[in-house]
Amino acid sequence: MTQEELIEQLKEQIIKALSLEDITPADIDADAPLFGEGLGLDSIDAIELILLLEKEYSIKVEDPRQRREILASVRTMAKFIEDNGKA
Amino acid sequence: MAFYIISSALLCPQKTFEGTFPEEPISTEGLYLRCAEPDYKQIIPPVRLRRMSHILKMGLAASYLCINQSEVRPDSIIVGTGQGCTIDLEGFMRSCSEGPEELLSPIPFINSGHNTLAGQIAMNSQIKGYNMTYLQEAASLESALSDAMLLLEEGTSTCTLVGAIDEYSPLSFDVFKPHNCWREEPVNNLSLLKADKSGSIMGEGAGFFCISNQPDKQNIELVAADSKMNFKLGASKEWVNNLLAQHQLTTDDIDYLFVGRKGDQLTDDASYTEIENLFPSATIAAYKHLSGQYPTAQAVALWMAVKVLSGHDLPAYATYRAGAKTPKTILLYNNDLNSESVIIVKKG
Amino acid sequence: MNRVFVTGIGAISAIGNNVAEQLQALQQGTSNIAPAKLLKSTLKLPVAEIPFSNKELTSLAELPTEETFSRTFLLGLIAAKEALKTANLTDRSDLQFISSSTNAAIEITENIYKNPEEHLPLLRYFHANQIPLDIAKELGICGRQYTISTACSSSANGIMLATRLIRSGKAKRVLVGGNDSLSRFSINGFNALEIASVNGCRPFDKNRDGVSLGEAGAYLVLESEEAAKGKHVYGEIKGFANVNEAYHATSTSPDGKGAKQAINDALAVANLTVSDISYINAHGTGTKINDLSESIAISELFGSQTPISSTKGCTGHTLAACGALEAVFSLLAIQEQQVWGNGRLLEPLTETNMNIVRETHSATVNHVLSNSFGFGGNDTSLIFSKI
Repeated sequence: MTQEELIEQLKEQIIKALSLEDITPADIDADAPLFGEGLGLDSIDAIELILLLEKEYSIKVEDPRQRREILASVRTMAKFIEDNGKA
Repeated sequence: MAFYIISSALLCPQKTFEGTFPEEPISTEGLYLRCAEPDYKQIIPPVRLRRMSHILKMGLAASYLCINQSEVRPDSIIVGTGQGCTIDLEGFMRSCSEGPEELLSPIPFINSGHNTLAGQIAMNSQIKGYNMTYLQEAASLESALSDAMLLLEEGTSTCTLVGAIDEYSPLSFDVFKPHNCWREEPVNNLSLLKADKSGSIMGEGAGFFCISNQPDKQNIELVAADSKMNFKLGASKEWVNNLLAQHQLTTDDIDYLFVGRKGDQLTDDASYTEIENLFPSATIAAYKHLSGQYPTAQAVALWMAVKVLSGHDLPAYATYRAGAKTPKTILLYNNDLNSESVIIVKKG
Repeated sequence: MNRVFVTGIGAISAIGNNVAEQLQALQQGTSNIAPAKLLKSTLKLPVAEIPFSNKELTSLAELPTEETFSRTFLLGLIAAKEALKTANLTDRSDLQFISSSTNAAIEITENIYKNPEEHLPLLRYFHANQIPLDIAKELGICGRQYTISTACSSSANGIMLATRLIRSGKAKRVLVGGNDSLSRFSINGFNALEIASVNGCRPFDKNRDGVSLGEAGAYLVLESEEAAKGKHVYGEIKGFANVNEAYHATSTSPDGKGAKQAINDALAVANLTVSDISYINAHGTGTKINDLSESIAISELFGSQTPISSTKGCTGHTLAACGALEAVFSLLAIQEQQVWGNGRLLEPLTETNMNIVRETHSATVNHVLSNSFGFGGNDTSLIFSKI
């Protein structure tokens, strides 16, 4: 899977996991920040995204300090999966 | 000190969210009635709807409708819920037992907290005063109302939003089945009150009311809200009489009586006949054939009583026994799940 | 306005079966946070468990041991009985009753919901108000009853309601408190929110890593000054307040805005100032966020002199029961003229500078502030005073 394909797959999974009902994958900019502005996600969403990585990609994020970097954008999540997972 | 209901909103299996009695009631064959839901996105900002469960959507919508109609912005919130957020409670119980425990989403846990709704309303409406939740089955609304009256009396609040809410869930339906709570065979809700079988049909709904220390032009006074534990089958006539006396009322003053008859052959007459006989000339209204049975269904009666006192005629489909024509003082009586409760409202 | 006196106290928690045992534990700085022996969860998180089986608790509650009861009910009944006994209340005709729990008998329902028909005698526990009704029946209480559920501030809110009812003359005497037992449900909830401690809770510690759940029943008897005439009085309830932060579903605001508001409002009701408070029994759950925001609120209002501690390092976080349990501890502080050590503290957090009580010691205790904060932005402060 190319990074772009992985990004598209992730967008679908994020929309589902976070119940972003009115948002389509095309609405999500892979490089835009996930938290704060943009999608307006919060700390509970962060927990859900970490669970998504564990459930869908079998990757455990052990160090909480790593989270901020991994969950910065969809692209940083995809990179993290490529570097650590079996995807 | 007097207390006034200055705004009300109800979501229930009938289309009451539009603010008036529907001309034709919903009539359906079954073991339970589901809430007639408005288009939530028209009422609640869509961004606020994310992660909201069924009960939270019903409650938020009813609270928005109620606050929007109120001339005074409430400063405090009190919610009464008979059984709480049962769908998410079951959902999280299920994920705990199915596991793996290490990988559970926290959202059903957050939404299963029984005071989640009161917290969500506070967050959505930025109402930062007193915030309380009663989880007390059939006495929940009455506890919430009496707390609101105390709050207004103390001067802590000038207008309090009081809500009553319960949701249908397959779990609550199943676990109360062996207690003869529900009918064994589907029944048309409009013939429920014949009470020719044991059990009732389940319902759900959310009723919200703004209670203020100042009247609005409708001038509807909340006189009393009280409840009593009752471990036997039957009604406490003396208690109702005492309550009337406490508020300088006699049985003659009561023009309309709302009763919580739910179509149960085993309990309906034992629970209500004596009270009905206390008020021989009053019009008697019933509502559980319209809303289904749920712990806080007396909110449906309160909403209907407010409508009647504002000049709307009691629809024929809610009239159980015809009687007095002009409603001035209305008593609501419910006798269910080990508790009796009374609410009295009057035109000021 | 009627003054409100506490004339009875009763409690059971992981550090003792009754008030006397818990007093001794507080004086000795005993903590009971350890791996669970009774609670079944694959999470293996440390908890503050009451070391008795349900059967043992049943006989402690003086009930027939061949019957099965909810553990939450048993904890409540044991504490309520002790409170009524210390208040010497045999005539219960005018006693009102306020109870609270987070999820009723969840420790039962979570195990039987899948096949309810196989557990007929226990199905009653699905009724959200069954435990308070059972306690009322057992104790012969027939006055008005209320059940509050506002998560971790539940029983503090119950005490507030009882106080308001007595002040306004709507009640003469009230039995009020809360009960919660450990459940797979709660521990998983806290774990899923990433606020369950792996190493055992250390409230206000620099290296704290979350909550350790506990279990307890705690009840108080409150009476009007007139009704309490001639009785031993543990203290007076002078201040109370409840506000909502309207900030987040489960987190406290970083600047402790709601906590400050609740404390200030309670002081105003009591007609006291911050300098009158001799000891603060904090909510102090041991999570990064709660303890920081609470300590910001406390240090901004009280500076660095007023002794403060959380007793949750000893008892764990007993959820709906913690407000009433810590009310009992606050009254014991007044009775003993002692302030309680902040259990399990190694190194205090560095962001603020509070006078955290390291070890239990003697002090002049006239007015105690007790905080209880719950999910849903619910913040409650109570003030107990020596009479």
